Amino acid sequence: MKGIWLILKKELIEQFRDRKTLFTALFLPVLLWAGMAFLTDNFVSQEDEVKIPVTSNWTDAQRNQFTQLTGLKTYVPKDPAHEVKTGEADLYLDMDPKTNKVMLFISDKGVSPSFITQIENYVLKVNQSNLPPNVAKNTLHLEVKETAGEENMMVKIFTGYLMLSIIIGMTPVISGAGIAIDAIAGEKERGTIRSLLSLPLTPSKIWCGKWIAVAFYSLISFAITLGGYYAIQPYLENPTLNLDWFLALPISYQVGIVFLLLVYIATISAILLFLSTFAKSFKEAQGYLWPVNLLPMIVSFYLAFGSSEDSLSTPYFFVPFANIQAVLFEGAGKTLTLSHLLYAILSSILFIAIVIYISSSVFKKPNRMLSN
Amino acid sequence: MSNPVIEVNQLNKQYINTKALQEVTFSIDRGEVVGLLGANGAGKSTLLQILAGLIRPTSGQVKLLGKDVQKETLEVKKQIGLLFGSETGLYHRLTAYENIAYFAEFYNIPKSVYEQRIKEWADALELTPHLHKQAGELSKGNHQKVTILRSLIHDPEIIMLDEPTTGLDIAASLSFQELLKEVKTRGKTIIFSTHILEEVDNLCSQVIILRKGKVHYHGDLSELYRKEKTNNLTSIMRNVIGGE
Repeated sequence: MKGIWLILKKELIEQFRDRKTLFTALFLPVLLWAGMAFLTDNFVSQEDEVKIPVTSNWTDAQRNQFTQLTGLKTYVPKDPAHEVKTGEADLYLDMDPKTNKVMLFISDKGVSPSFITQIENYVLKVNQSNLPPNVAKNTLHLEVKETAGEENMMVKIFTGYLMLSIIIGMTPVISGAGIAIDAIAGEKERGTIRSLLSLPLTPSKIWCGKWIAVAFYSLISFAITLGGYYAIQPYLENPTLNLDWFLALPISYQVGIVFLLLVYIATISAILLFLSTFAKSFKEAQGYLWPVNLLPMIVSFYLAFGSSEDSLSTPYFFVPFANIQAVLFEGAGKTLTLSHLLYAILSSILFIAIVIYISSSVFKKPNRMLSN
Repeated sequence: MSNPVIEVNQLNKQYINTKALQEVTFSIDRGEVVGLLGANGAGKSTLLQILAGLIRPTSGQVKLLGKDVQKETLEVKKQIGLLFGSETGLYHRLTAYENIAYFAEFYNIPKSVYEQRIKEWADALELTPHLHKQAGELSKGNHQKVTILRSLIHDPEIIMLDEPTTGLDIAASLSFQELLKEVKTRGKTIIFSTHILEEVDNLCSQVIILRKGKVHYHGDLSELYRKEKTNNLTSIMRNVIGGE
């Protein structure tokens, strides 16, 4: 264990003194996601300004009153239902002048609860005030109905499950890549690997020391990134990090997901270091690693937009990269089962063991390690 | 009485298209300083790397201090000090001191012991003012001095040096030779490759001359001079290299 600790300590000191590493591992992810948060906020704010389609049954006075009480503007399209069907709007309003019934038609692909609350509040305010000339004699009734709609893709991309899954998926890859490349491919290029291999230490221990160092930096980077992203939420008009579903889970599930997260970071670190072990130079390692950067995002988007079910089939939970995203997907959708969570954890641990075994085997091969 | 610490028996190393070493056999006794000579590509670095357990031979056996290098690699590595002059192998973001101490700790040397060694040898090599500079800030010569200290820090029984004075100025090179002489008086076995024949004259009791991966000559330097009827090593080597 002492040998692994010495390797780890050296890697930590050396990387900590490297400004480039500090930037790519610690500051870049924070800057990236903070920037993304404000962009998202701007986008979602723009969504708030979208006008609500209403039928021609709404009089101008009623529309003005609605705007005064809710702050939401309205417009009268030819076919309001078509607006929802094409995704131009998430809902539309109709009005029966005889019964004073306000009919709210919402998209069957989902709608922001805040819109419904605002409309409910509108009905409440009108009924309480009892003043508007055209509805003074009758009380308004709200009836909510579902209508065929189109999913608002962009809103879904940047809110709820998807944003969290992208941060979790990509941060360890972004932050760990530079360190992993430097740890082995960098040593080959600088010629320090020969001295390292001359030490009375097994290749497996050398590799594990470096692996733990990469995982440690990735974990720190991830904690800073997620913490930073969480901290800026109050400054956003529309917070995009939704952890309510996680906090609502039983404690055993919460512990399981946190453990899976640690295992995921360890898995990513192992894969990055494996590719660095395989590469003969810094540049070759970079070539291997860039596709890995895309994998978590591809998986996140695939699950978010490619899956029509709330729960996923079991094989998703055995595939590295995909399994943590699948757990987040089901967790957010309140369909996560303990067996799926355990499959994801155990399969990841098994995968790490395989990667360590293969990497150590490659690490023992002088023609790959000493060829520069 | 013969007391071999390095025993090489019918060693062969085949790369894809090249026979780097062919039927290499020799033994070196404790306390000898052996110069490893030969043209570029003669197999010197390959031989040193096999002796150090860094690469595996295609066939043949190497024993260091009676232990099979291939079977007891870690035990053998504890007894070896290794230096490759062509690559200093220092970590640029660690200080010179940290580079040496880092390696010392792998050999379980008490801190007080390695600190004392670093102090003494750094003084001898005039490295003391640079000990706490990051390796990336050091001159090439100081780089090499740090590497030399690092390879000797665990007081190894066998010291293998591949062109150790590459990059050193004359003063540092002479200091290094003095250091090796001092190490020799403590009964250590040293094998080093070099192109600087003066170093061989000054330090070595024996030489191994490799030619196209084969041992062309192994024996006492004085015997070589007698055999070749000249005391001019440069002339001898010119004949050997010229024959390749």
